[in-house]
Amino acid sequence: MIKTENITKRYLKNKVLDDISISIPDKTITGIIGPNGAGKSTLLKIISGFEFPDSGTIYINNNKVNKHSMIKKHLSYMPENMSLYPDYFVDEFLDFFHSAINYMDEKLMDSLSLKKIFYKKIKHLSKGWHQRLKLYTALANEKPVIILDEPFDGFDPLQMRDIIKIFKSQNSEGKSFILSIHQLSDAQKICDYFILLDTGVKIAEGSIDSLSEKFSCKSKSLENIFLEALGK
Amino acid sequence: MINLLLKEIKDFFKSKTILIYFLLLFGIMAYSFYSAIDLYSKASVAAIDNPLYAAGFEPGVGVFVPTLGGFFIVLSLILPFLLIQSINNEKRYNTLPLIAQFPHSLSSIFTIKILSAIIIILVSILFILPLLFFWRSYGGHIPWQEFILLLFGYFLYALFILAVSFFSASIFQTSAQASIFTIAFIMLSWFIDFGKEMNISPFIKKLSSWTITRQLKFFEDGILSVQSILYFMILFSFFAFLSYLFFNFSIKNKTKKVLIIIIIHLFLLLFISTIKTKYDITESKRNSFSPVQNSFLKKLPEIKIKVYLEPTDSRYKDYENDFLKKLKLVKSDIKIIFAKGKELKNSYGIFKYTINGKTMKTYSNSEEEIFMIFKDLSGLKMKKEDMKNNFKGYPLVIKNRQSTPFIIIYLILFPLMIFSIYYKLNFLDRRKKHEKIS
Repeated sequence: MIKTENITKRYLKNKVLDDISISIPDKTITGIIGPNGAGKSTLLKIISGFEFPDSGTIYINNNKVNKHSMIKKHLSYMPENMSLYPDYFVDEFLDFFHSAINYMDEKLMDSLSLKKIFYKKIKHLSKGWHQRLKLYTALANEKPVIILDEPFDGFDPLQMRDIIKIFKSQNSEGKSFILSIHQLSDAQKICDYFILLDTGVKIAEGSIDSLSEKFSCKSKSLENIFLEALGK
Repeated sequence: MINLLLKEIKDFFKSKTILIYFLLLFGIMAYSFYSAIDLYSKASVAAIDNPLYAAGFEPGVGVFVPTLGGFFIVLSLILPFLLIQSINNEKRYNTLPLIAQFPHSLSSIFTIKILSAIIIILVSILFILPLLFFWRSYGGHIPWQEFILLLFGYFLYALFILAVSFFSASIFQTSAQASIFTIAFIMLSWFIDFGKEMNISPFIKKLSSWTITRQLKFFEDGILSVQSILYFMILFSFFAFLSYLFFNFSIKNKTKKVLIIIIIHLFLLLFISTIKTKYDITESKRNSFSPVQNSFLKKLPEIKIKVYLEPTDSRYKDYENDFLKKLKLVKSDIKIIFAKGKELKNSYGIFKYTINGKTMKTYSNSEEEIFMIFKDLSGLKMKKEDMKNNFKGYPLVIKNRQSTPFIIIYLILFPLMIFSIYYKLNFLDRRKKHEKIS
């Protein structure tokens, strides 16, 4: 289980996260939901150990963690704006990646159809294929928690269906996912636990049922719940 | 780990920057070598039948120093652009989160980046070595000790460039900013030297003895200076630690750590300022007095020299190069004071020597007269010796010089070699693989 207590983060005078305490259950697909500027990416970076909070604590399996080296054993993180190595061919990059992590997931490569683009240079890939390759680097490991920042960026509906299938399959094998998603309809399709953020403040967290109950929302649409939560 | 190292080296050879870097290196080296041997050969004509003049012909200072002057330009102004990429591309493509999640620690990843850059520097040095073969084929003499020291000096200088490049790449977001900062930092050393030559201020003069170019000069002069070697190593360590500090996103309290690094390295610099061990390793011993003169000087107590000349005066420059440089190799505790104002005006041109409280003055800067003054002031005697220098010199007139093989190798073969590596890494290999797959 991943837990944060009173996480606060400022960039100069701008407070991007304000006293965030969340508790993400094991083996769930958790969506961090919020409009642009809500602090989703910053929260993910802090949980992954790539940023320090100004104050607050992170716990993984009830152990306090404050170093990236401690965190990286437990979770895998894919940032939103990573472009991999543009001058590498896909197979060349994968050879390097596999030898660096000493792990290879042939099944996942097939699921993501990466062999189709082996001969291509990364800089010549379309956004969707580039995103698949990035997802492979985050998913191809035995870490129990996968953190993905905007994982559906660049996918068409068909590609997205394939990716959701992969996430669900890995989740059923015991992996937890924490995803930042700004499209509420996409989030509802895949996630079973939600953390709602707005301008750096946590509004609520829970399953869709508990959230609709909390905000007395008749509809179980995440969009309606979120609007209700924001008071709009 | 080896796969990471190979990837880093491959990254260098995949970039277009390395093509430009090596093309410039080959061109500049070829031009510098060609000009150096041409001048050496022309000047040697008059020395062939004149043993006294011939003794002044040393390939170390006459051929290799000017040739490696070209290497200095490449290291100072082009190498930073190549090395900065190693850190900067991780920032540009935001791939640091990817490699940081590999099982290796960030310190290992950083060390590998440094190692790969050192390999690039060594490869650059390797391309200089064939020049020795050409020089030998023209009948030239190679002063091995001097040459190795010179190369070692440039290697240390390249390490400094590497550390500054990594440092600027770590603190700046774009490679343009990092490159400008690195070049400006290197040029600062040149400006300080220029300021010293122009006698701008006593502070600049003091500072100039610690510039990179001033320390590199020892290697060019054929002086093995322990202080200079340690100086380059300390600078390398200073900038390497700082760059690691900014490269590693998971280090907290960076300001405190920066201060600790600065303090430790300042102490190290202070410590090495006390090390005066220097050896003249030139074949002609051009930087030293004779053994008899040296043993006499060692017996002397502290020497004070008051100079009634402007530091920019050419007479003082000659005195510094021909006499003081040698004296400082034997006696590191000499005190030199420059007269100022009216005092300077009234006695312009005088050198005043003080030993044991006794003072003598002279207008001469000849070695023989100064030694006479030393003997008179100290009351010590110096053994008589054969003042003849046994070094005969190596003048070389190159007749029927075959430039074609040299031009073919440096301007065609080597560039083709680098281009083929670049082409193979970027295109050829994968096409074949693709054919096999399909």
